[in-house]
Amino acid sequence: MNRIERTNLNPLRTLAALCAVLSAGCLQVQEPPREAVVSDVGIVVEPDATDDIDASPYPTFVPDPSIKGTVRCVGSSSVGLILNAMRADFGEAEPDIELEVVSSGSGEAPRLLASGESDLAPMSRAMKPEEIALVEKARGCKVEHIDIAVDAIAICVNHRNPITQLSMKDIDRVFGRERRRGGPPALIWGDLGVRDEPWDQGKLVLFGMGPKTGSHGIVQEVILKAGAFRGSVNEEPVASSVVQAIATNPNAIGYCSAYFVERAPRVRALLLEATDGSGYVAPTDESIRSGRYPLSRSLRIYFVRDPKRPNPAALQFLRFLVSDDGQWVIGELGQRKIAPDQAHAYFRKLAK
Amino acid sequence: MMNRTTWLRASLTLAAASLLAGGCVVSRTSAPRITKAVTSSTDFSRNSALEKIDSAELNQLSNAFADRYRTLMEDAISAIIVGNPNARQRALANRFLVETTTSAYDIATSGDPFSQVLDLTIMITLTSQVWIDSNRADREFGPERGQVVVTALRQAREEVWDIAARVLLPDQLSALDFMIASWRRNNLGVEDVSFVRFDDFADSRGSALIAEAEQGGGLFQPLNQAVDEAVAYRKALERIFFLAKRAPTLVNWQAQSVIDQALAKEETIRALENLDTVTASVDTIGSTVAQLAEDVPNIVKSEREAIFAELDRRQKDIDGALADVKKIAMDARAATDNVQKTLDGVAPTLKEVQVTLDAAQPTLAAVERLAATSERLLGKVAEMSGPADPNAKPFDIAEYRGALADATAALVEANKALDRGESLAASPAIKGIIQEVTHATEERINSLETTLSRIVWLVGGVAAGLLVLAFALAIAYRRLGGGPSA
Repeated sequence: MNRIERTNLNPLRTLAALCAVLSAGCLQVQEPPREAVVSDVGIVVEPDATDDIDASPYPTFVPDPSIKGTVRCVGSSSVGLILNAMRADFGEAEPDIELEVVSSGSGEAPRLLASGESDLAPMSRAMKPEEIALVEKARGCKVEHIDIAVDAIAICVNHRNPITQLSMKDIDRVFGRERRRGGPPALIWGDLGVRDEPWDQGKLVLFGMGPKTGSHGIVQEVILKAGAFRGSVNEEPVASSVVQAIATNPNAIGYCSAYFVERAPRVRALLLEATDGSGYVAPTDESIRSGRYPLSRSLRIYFVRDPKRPNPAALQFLRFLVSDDGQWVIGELGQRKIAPDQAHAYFRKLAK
Repeated sequence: MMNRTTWLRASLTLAAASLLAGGCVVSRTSAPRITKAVTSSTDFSRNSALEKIDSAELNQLSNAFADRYRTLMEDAISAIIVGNPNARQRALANRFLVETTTSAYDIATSGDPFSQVLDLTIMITLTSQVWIDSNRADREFGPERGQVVVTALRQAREEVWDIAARVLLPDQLSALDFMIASWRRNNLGVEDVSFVRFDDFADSRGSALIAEAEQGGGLFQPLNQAVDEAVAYRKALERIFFLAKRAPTLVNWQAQSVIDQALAKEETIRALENLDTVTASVDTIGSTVAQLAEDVPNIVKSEREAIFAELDRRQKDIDGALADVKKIAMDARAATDNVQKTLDGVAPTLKEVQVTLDAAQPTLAAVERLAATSERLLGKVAEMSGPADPNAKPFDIAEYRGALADATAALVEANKALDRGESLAASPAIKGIIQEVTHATEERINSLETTLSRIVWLVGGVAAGLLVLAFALAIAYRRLGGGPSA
């Protein structure tokens, strides 16, 4: 059943919510009714036990028919794919808001936000300080962002490989040419502590993503400390190619989005340790969402509240993204939702 | 109402819209309640990020890839089929070759070059995921033969993504990769993926969007309608020739595949096995009959000779046996008389033996008692001779006296019994036993007497010693003046 259609099954609730918005004079977080209440217009709203929306921990999106306009999103294709998947539900909730989504890559997003050609800048990585400075200087206001989903980079090996965990320093020794975290280069599995014969003498075969991908950038920034990759890394065009390359080579090690590793039976993600003694962490839903897993990343949208060019439609779309409806779509796409408390915090932030 | 699959289809349609909207595409979704949601617009980086490539070149690339794929797969499948005794594996390999190659040509000769690239990428990626990631190659063909398919598919996959990278940005490649992965997640049980197309991801609207993208000029140079139609006719002809040249090979493979599949069917295998069995049976029977035809006369002849020879031999034996029996009967008659006489003489002797044995019974009992008594005496003597046992009973001369009395009585009894049984006493063996027992008893009595004498002397000596010591103590006491008189 479509999300919005299910919402529309309860018109009393929608009406009550609208009344609440109108009476408050502005958008605010609407907690779902847990018990029978009397609305501002005297309508008794009964809790609907069959409607699972009421059980959602995410904030409820409240449509505002008074908002009209166009929202232009230009940036990451990965995030763009998610934004496009929101189109049907958001279009039903806000029929007077036009949504334009263009894939240009994360690299172009800051420039276009700065020039005002886009209202929202979807990115699969964090904006660099110089990019933020560029936007703030051009627009004359502070750059803000919300995370709409979380993902992680998995360091993975062939399922037959006995190794189970690595430290960030070890990964730097594997992939880094400069090894900015120190230590000698790791060329065979024995260099990484594998003692099982004949694995210990097996030569590492490295796989990774191309330099223009988010995964490449994150590994370079977080693990290699902006150092260069070794020349022996086999660059694959997409994540599923990395997974397949590792599946067919027992000595392979590589990195890619954890999404592609989760259901790959011949590839295994390693536990990672951020700093010495901090403990090894597996890329689970909980550890990725909480940020305990050291290679977690957020799919985020940058925006500005330009007083000269206010765009309430853009803010309304952002509220939709972190709402129960938006996060439901994220889940349906197989992506990891943000934490509910984070969603509420964003909702409050966007209501200001 | 939309179920989850429908929802995903709709979402992916919109995702496809974004993916394909690299050019100046403005598309409106067909969802009835969406009035203003649109897909946009300018691709800000494509021109700088991608090399220029026109539709003809893209078409050539996809055609060349289809041929390349055919070569890769033909080599791999030949390696699986040649020398493979497993009919099922041969049939599966042929079917795989026919289906995937036909599919690749089908895509390469479809209408739109951009769709060709997307569809080839999707088809090859999904096929490789089924056969490599899900391990079907190893499962179906075994590790060695399966590896051939794995290598070929890996190669094909790398090449098709290289082509895709010429028309899509890295982020768009990632988006396409994500769409394929999502489809795979939702269709894990599907193994025949060679006919999955982009339309299956993006619903029928995907084709329209591709057409819009092409006309929009983002990827390709804009063409006016007249030129477009002329080009379309030319392309159609090229595709017909392209496919026609390859059709005989494909048809040949398909025919071979049908034959292999028919041969690999269980019923066919069983029928062939039965036919083999019948043929073998007929051969065996035929050769057996021929051999029999050759052997029977000889067998009959040799059997007849053997029978006559046996009859002759038995006649002689019978004659000899009759003569022997006659002689034995005469001897037996004489022997019977002798036996009777012997039996008559033996009867008194047997009675005498019985009497003798009866008389011997008490004697044997007396001898047993004597032996037991002797053992008892010997035990006592052994105790006396051995090391002192702190827990042993104190010496009691009465036991020895009793034992000697028993021995004497046993001897007397034995002697009486022997006197009574003269025939037994006359036996040298009994005499020997008696002498032996008597001798042994005498020896033990003598030994006992010696021991008793030693004991008596010892006791007497100790008593005398004690007496002397008492006397000495008394004298000493008096000399020291410790007595009552002092």
